[in-house]
Amino acid sequence: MMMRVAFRNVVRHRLRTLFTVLALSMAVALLADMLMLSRGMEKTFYRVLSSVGYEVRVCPRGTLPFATDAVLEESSRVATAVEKDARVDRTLRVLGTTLHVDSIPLFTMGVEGERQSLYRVVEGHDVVSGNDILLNRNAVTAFHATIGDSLQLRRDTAGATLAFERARSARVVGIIEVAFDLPGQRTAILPIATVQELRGEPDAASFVLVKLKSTDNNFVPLDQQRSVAASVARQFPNLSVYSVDELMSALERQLAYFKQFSLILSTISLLVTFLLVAVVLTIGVGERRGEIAALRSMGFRRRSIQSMILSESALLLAMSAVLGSVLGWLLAGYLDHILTQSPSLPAGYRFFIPSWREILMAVALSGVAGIIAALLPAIQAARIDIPKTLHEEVV
Amino acid sequence: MSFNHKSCLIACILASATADVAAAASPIVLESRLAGEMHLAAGDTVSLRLPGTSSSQQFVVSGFYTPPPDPAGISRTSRQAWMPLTDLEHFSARNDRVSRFVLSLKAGANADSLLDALNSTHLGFRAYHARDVAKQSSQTFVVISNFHKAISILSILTGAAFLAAIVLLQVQELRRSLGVLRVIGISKRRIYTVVIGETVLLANVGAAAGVGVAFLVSRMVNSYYRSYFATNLVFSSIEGWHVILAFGIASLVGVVLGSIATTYLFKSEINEVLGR
Repeated sequence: MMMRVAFRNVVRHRLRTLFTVLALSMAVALLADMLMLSRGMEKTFYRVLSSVGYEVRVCPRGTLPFATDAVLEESSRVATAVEKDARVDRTLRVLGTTLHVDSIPLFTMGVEGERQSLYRVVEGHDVVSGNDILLNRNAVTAFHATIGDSLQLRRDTAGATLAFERARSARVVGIIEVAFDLPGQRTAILPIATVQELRGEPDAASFVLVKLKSTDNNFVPLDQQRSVAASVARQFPNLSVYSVDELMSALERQLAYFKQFSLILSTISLLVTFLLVAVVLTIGVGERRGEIAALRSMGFRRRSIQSMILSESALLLAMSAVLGSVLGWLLAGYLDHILTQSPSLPAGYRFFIPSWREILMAVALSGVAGIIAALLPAIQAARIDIPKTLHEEVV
Repeated sequence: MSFNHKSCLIACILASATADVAAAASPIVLESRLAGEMHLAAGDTVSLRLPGTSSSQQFVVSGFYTPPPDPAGISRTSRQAWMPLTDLEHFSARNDRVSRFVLSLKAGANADSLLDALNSTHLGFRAYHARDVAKQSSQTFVVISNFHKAISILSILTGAAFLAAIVLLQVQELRRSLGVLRVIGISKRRIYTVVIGETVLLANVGAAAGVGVAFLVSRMVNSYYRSYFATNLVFSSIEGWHVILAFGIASLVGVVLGSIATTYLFKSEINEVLGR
C-alpha cells in the first residue's frame, strides 16, 4: 500500500525525479568505476603473474623483477639451494639486458630450462643451443627477420668508436609472445649462458623464478607460497623473496596513487548520494506536510508514513541503480581507454575491468547510503503535529 | 675537489659504507637521501662494487646532491651517485663509452638542421630535440591529465543534475508565492530574473564552498604525497583560471537550470499554481 503511494509521489514530479535519478545514477556509476579501478589493477597484476606461472620470485635486495640493472651474482647457487626444498618443483633463472642489432635496442631475456612458462613459442621451436634466438613480432618487424636468419648481437651500439666490438651471431629459431611486453617493445629470448657471456657476468641472473609442486589443477595454496618464500628469505637474507601476493602488494605500491584516487572518489560518490537523497526527501516532506498530516488524521500510523518516505528513497535508488549500472559499465570502458594510452604499460594491461561484482557492490553501498539519508526526513514526516499542520496548510 | 656534474654518469650499485678514509680514493657525490638511509656524512668513505665483479673500489663522499623534482622518477627506488666521467670509466673498465651526449647550442643555432645532420651520419646513435624528449617522457602525465579531465566532466554533470533537482524542488516550493506575484501583475520577465538570480546565487555559493574544499584537499594531497614519495614536487595546484572556471560553470549551469525551472513553472495554470 505505502509502496504504491510512494510510487505515485515519485512519478507525480517527473522532471524532478528525472534530475534526481540522473544525479544519483552518475554517483552510482562513478562509485562502480572507482571500485573497478581499485580491483582492475589487482586483477591485471594477478593475471600477468598467473600467466607467468611461478609462485615465488627471488630478486636482488630491495628490487622488483626488471626494475633495476641489479643482478644476483651467484644465481646457480641460489637456484640449487632453493631446489633442495621438497615443496619446490623447479626453478628458472632469468637475466634481462638490452642488446643491439644494427644499433636498434633489443630487450633480451636469457633463460635456462625448457619447461618454462615465461613466454610462448608461436612459430618455430624453443632455444636449444647457445646460438639460438627467439624474437617477438615487434623485433621480427624491426629487423625484417624470418626464422633461419642470423642476427649480429652487440652489447653496445656500433658507433664509430665501437666499430671493432665483437658481435655475437645468433640464429632466429622461433617467434614468441610474452605476456608482459610493453607496446612496441622488441623482445628476444636467448639461453642464459649467452646473455651472461655478452654481459661479461658469469652466473648472473636478474631474478630466479620458483615453481612449487601443485596438488591438483596447478593450484598452490597461498600459505604454502608464503611459507616457501619465508624459508628462502631466511636462507638468503641479502635477497628479496616474494610470493605472488607479496609481489602484487609491492607492484600495487607503485600505483598507490590510483588506489587512493579511487578511495577518495568512492567516498565523494557516497557522500553525493547521501546528500542528494537527504535534500530531495527533506524538501519533499516539507512540501507535502499538509498531505502527510491528512494521511495521519485519516488513521495512517507513523510507521506507515516512515515506510512511505523510505520507499520513495528505495524507488529513486532502484531506478538510479539500473541507469547507473549501465552508465558505469560504459564509462569503465571509456576511462580504461584513456588510461591505457600510457606508453609504459604492458600490452593487455587494464585499469578498469567491467564486472558485475563491483556494480552490485556499488549499488549496495549507494542503497545503504540512500536509506540512511532517508531516515531523517522519514522520522521528521512521522512526527508532524497533525492539528497544527492541518490548520496551517488547509485553512 | 670540484667537477662538472653534467659530464658524469649515473653510477651503479652502492654495496657498503665504511668509516675508513683512503687518501687516494676518488670523490663521489651521493643522492642526499642516502645520507639519512646509510648514516653517511661528507668525508666518509664508501665501497662501490659493480654487478658481476668481486672487487670493490673506495670513494670519498665529497657531498650530497638532491636531484631536481622529476615526476617521471617518482616511483624510482634506486639511489643515484655522481662521479667524474673518467673515474667511472676507470671504475667500470669501460673506456670511452657514454649513455648519451647533451649538446648546448650557440645562440641562434638551428637545432633542427643539426638534428638532421647528426641523424644522417649513421654512426649508431639517434639525436633528439630536448622538447621531443620532454614530450615523450611526459606522455604518461598527459594520459593522467586526460583521465582527470574525464572525471571532472563527470563531476560537473553530476553536480548539474544535483542542482537541477534542488532548483526544481525550490521552484515548486515557491509556486504559490510566484502565483501571487503573477496575479498582482509582476511580469514573467521579472519572475524569470528573480528565479534565475536565485539559482545562479545558489550555484555560486556551491562553487565557493567547492573551491574552499578544493584548496583544503589540494594542501592535504601535496602534504601527503610529498611525504609518501619523499619529494618536493607539486602534485596539486589550484590556479586562478580554475577558480574562474568553477564560478563560470556554476553561473552557466545556474542560468540554464533557472530558465528550465521557471519555464516549467509557467506551464502551469495560475489557478493550479495558486492551488485553486
